[in-house]
Amino acid sequence: MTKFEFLTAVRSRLYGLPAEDVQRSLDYFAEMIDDHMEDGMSEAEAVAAIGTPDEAAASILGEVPLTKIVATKIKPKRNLHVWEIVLLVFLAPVLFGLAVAALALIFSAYVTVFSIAIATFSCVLAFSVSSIACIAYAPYLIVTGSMMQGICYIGFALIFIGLAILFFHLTMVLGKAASAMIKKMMTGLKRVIVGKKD
Amino acid sequence: MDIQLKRGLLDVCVLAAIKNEDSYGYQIIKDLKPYVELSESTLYPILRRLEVAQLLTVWSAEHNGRLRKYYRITPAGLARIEEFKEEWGEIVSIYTFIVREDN
Repeated sequence: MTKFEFLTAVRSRLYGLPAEDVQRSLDYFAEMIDDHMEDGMSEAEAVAAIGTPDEAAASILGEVPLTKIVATKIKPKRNLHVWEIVLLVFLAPVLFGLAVAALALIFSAYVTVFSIAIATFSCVLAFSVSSIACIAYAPYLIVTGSMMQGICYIGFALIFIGLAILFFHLTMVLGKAASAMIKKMMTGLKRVIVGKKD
Repeated sequence: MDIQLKRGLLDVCVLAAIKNEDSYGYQIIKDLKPYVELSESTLYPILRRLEVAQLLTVWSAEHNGRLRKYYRITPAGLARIEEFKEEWGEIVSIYTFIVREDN
């Protein structure tokens, strides 16, 4: 890898960072490569000695505060025209409404996931209670002479236990899916802020 | 080693490397090599952190037709080294307590 290729690779990984931070770090790594070469290394050896572009980019990214990254992202590239500002003022109610709608959507997604989890968990409870009730009632029926009914109740109890186990597993699966979904949403949000241009 | 401890230690190492005379990135790494293995990617955030904290200042000079950045320690940087020496006394006394013989 040449020095130019290395620096280009690092730059592409820093897309979205403030320009001054990017330039300062690229200057640093360029100087390092030059100094290695002056010490007798070839260009390829010098670049290899510096490490990978990923390592370089990670060390730079770690030192720039998140607030600065967000501020750079939000700051417009040029000043707004008057008509753009007027348009923004008029559109504000609509934009605000859209933002609220987006938040409401996210909120309802959470609520849906949690209510499904609560519903399945209630099923687990209901089936468990039913099976316990059947098991408790069966001996009484058998003792009082209703043999067939008693055996039926034991059968019901087994069915309810089976259903309870089934729904318990369903709850676990849904819970895992929900936490995975929330994690994905958070990573997605971060990726939106610090975009990587390829 | 504990990441926070190592971080603080490396900061002081870099300050010590420029304590007596101004130095540049490649030279700092070479000077520290016998004592601590420091990669180019590790040194960059340390220098940046020290600069923001005003423990060192940066100036550029021409060298072989290109600019090279030199790092100079500030009075605050020198004070940081002294502070470290005192802290180290405390750490040693804690260490002596940790490794003391059981009675």
